[in-house]
Amino acid sequence: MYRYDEFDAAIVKERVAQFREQVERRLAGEISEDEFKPLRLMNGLYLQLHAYMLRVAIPYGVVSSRQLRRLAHVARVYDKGYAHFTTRQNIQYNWPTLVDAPAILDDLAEVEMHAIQTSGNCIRNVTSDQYAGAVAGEVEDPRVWCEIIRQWSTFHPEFSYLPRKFKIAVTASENDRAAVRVHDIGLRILEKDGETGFEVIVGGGLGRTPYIGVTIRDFLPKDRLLSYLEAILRVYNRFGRRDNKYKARIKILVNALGPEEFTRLVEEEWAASDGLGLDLPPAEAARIKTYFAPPAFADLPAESAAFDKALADDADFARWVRTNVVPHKVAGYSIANISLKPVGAAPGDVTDAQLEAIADIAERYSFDEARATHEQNLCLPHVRKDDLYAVWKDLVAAGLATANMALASDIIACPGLDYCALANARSIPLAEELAARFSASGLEETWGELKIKISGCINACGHHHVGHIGVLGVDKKGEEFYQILLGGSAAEDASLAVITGRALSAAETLDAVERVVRFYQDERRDGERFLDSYRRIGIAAFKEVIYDDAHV
Amino acid sequence: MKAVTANLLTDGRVVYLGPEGDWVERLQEAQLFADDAAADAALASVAARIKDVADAYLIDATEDGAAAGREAIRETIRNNGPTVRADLGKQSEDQSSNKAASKAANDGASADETVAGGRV
Repeated sequence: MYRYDEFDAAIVKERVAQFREQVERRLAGEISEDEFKPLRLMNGLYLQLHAYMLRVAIPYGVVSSRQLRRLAHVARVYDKGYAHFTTRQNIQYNWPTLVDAPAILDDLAEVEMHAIQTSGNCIRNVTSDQYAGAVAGEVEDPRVWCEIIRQWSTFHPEFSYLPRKFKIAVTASENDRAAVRVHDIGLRILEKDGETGFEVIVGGGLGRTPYIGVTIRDFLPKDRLLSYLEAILRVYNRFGRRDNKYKARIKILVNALGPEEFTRLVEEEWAASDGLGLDLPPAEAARIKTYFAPPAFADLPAESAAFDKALADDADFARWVRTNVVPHKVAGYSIANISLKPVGAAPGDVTDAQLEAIADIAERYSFDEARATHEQNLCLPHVRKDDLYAVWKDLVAAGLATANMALASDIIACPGLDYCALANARSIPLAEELAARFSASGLEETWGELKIKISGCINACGHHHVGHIGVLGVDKKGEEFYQILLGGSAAEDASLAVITGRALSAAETLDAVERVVRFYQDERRDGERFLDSYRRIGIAAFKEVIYDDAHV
Repeated sequence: MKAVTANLLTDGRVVYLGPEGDWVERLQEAQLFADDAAADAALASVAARIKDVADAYLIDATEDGAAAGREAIRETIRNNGPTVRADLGKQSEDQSSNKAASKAANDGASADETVAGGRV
C-alpha cells in the first residue's frame, strides 16, 4: 500500500497544527461558531445530535493492521469503544469531544491517517473496488489511479471551494463494486487496442435528485487522466450553481446543459489546457505504481486439502465460505469478506476489540492489510486457502463471522435519526429488524444477492435509490414514515429504484418488505436474483404486494 | 411550552437552558417558556455565550418537560440517546430522571414501539 513521503507527512502534520490553533481560538471565544464551523468541517468534525462526529478518511478503503490498531485506540481512549464504517469506505466516531479532536488527529497522523476530504465542498476521499489488486480480470490496479487522484486533489487550491462536494470512484473490473455510475465522476479502467485508459462517467449521484452518470468519453488514454479531470472540474467550478445547494452538484449541471453540451465544454477546456503540463509524468505514475506491487504471494497449488477437509467437516465454516469468500487471482489464495452486519447491531459498527482482532488477523493472514467496502463491510484481500479455516475461527471468536455477504440481511443503513442531525427518521432499527427476520427465515442464502439499502432522509447516505429494495425515511407531521423503492442497482447494471407509493409506518414497512421478498421467492425463475425477477415482472405486481392487505 | 437547547462547545453534549440561566443536562430540568416572546428573548440572551455552546435553538416541550411538536422524536432522542444503544447517551447515565423522557417517547411517538419490534 501507499506510504507517505515527506510531503504527505508534512502537510498532514501542518494541517493538524493549524486545526489545533483554530480549536484553541474557538474554545477561547475568539471566533464564533459561524466562523469555526467551516474550519472544523474541513477537518472532518461535524456536530450531530448527541455530540461531535469525526469522520476519518480511509483512502480507497485500504487500511493496514497498524492503522486498524490506531483506529481501535481512538475508539477506546477518545470515544465510547466503537466506530462506524460508512458508505464511502470511511470510518466515523460518534462521540469525540472538540477538546480532544486535535489529539485524535495527531494520533492518526502518526499512522498516516487524517480527516481531510471527508467533509466540505471539495473533492472528497476517492473510493474504489475493495477487491483491487486481488480479483481476477482487472486491467490495472485501480488503487494506483486512486492514489494519483488523491495526491492531485488534496488541498487542490482551485477546487477547495467547489459549488458542492465532489465524489470520484474508480474501478478496473467488469463487476462494478465501486458504484461508479452514481458518482460525480466514475472512472472505469479498460483496455482498448492494447492501450490502457478510462471510460469517464460524469453526473451520477444519489441525494434528492438521483441520476445515473453519463459516459462523456469512452476512452481516455491513462496518461491524460489528470488534465481531463481538471477540465471537468473547471467546467463544473465555473458553471455549477452556487445559489441553491440542492441544485449545486455536477449532476444538475450535466442535465441542465445536456450531456452533449457539457461534454463539448469539457473537451473545449481540455483542448485549451493542452500543453500546460497538467498531466502526471509517466515516470511519476510508475513510481506511485511501485507502492501497489503485489505482495509476495507464495507459489501454491490451486487446491488446499486442509481447506477441503474443513469444508467437509464444519457446516458453519462451509456456509461462511459460500457467502463470504470469493476467488482470488492468484492460485491458492482467496478474498475473505468480513460482514459488519450481525443480527442485532447497527450496520457498519465495530468495537475497539473487533478492530484489533481484524488487525491481528490481517497481519497474520492477509499481508497486513484489510479493505473497507462502500457497503459497510470489510474484506481481507489476500488469504491463503490453507489459512481460511483459522481466519474464520478467529473471526468467530471476535463476533465477526456473520455469513451474509450480499444477502438480504447484509443491509446498508445510514446512521439515521439515532445519530444524524439531518435525518428525518431512524434507519438502524429497521435494518436491525429486517436483518433479524431474514436471518431467522433460514432462506436468505437460497435467495442469493438481494441488496436492501435504507436512508433516514433524502440525502441518501444509505443509497436507497440503488437498493434492489430501497427504504427512505420521511417525516410526516412529526412522525416517522418510510417509502419503499424497488429496482435499483449500484453495480454495472446500474439503475435507479422507483418509489412504489405512499409512505408507510415503520411496522407496515417491515411487513411490506418481508412480503415483497416472499413474493419474489414464489415468483422467481431458475434461481433469479431479486433484481432480475423484479425487472422481468415489473413494478405493478410488487406494488400490489406492498399495498394490498390481502397479502398480509 | 418552549425550551432553549444547544450542544456544549467543548464536547457536544446536549444541554438545555436551566431556570438559573445555567445549562442543565435534561429537558425535564430546563426552564420552560409559556410565552413565545420570552422564549425568543431567552434564545437571544444566550447568543453571546459563544464559549459555552454551539448551535442554540428553541424546541417545543410539554409542561412536564417532554419534547413535543414536529421535532418530538428527534428531540426525545437528543434528550435520551440513540434508541438502538440504551447503553449510550443520557439514558445510560441517569436512570431516574430518564423516566419522563422515555414515557414521552412511548406516548408521543407511536412508531417507537413498532420500529424495533417493541425493543425501543
